[in-house]
Amino acid sequence: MTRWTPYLAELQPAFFCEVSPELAELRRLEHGGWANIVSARGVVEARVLVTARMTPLRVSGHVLHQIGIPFHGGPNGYTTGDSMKELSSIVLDPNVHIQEVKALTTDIQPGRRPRGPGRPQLVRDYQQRAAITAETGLYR
Amino acid sequence: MSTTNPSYPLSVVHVGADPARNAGYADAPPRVGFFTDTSICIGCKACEVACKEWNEVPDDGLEWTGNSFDNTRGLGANTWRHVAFIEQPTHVEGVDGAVEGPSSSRRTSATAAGIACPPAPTASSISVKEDGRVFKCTLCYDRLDVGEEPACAKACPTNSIQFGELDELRERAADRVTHLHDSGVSQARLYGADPDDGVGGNGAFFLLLDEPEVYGLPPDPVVTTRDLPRTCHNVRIAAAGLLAGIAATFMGRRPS
Repeated sequence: MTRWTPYLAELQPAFFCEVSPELAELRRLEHGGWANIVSARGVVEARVLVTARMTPLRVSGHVLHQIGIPFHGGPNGYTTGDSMKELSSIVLDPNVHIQEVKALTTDIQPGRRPRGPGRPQLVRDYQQRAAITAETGLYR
Repeated sequence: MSTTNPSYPLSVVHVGADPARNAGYADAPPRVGFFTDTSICIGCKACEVACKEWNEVPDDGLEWTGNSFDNTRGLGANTWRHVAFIEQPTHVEGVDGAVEGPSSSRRTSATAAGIACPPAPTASSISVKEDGRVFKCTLCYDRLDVGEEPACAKACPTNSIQFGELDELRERAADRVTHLHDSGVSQARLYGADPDDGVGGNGAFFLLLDEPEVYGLPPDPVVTTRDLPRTCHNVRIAAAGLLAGIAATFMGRRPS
């Protein structure tokens, strides 16, 4: 609904990812520029929003960077772009069967994602490097 | 929110700062307006969306700003959010045919409002479209007619925008300021609530948590017609001088 209503679409007129200044520096992400976000399942591109709200976490002695992404996104409606759901697995919550995957592990790189055959190839490269095979259940 | 009772007691007499009565509307209902308490505004923009939805104002373009979650940028002809509504008529003494500002949005032509209204504190009580047409907040008068409050006030989830009779709102606002001061928020202040200020009190006034300039509001707005009597007086003196000069010229050329 958000993307299909002009008054709501204009409030958030682009698919974006929110990152900390630390992560932006680490990956040379530019505020207002583009980043592509890769998971074991797909790759999407989003505008970069750098804010101090996003603070890196320290988990078991490791620094864990967070990337905030809105669930609303897709190729149709007034606000068009990639969809976060291309990154996630399909898990539905037991009550109302809304997709409940709200946290997942990704990589983030500056720039726009490849078009055409380059897009699945990029994901395949990541899968190979991560040793994701048919047995692990994520190969495609 | 209380407020829009269509059966206003018509016997209430307002002396002085009552634009409708000053404009000759003898049985005018009590003056109504907005009190916007910015201390509880969460910036959700529900008022902005509600205004567009009800008044069929188009979207303002789909441009992502990267400015946190605010993609509105400024207010304009198509984006009003909440408005400062100044309806104090600017009667000017000493000028034949008093110059009068907007007495109420629905009885004032937009052009007149554009000329006679003081600088709009939130840049949105009067908006000029790209094609030069001027628009003014109507307080959703079609809603008022059926006893509803304006769309922005209705949509506000925190009651930051309150609509009602101005006298009551001013009382409520003063209480709120006292409460905030007692809680240690010493910077809390009202803006546009004083009927004796340069614009005769705004129909829409605010509770601010800092200097008005921080919000982009003029610290001490004055109606543009304030200086009109003096201007008129000076023009008369200048005209008299000019006429005297012309007369003197002709007198000088008279043959002996």
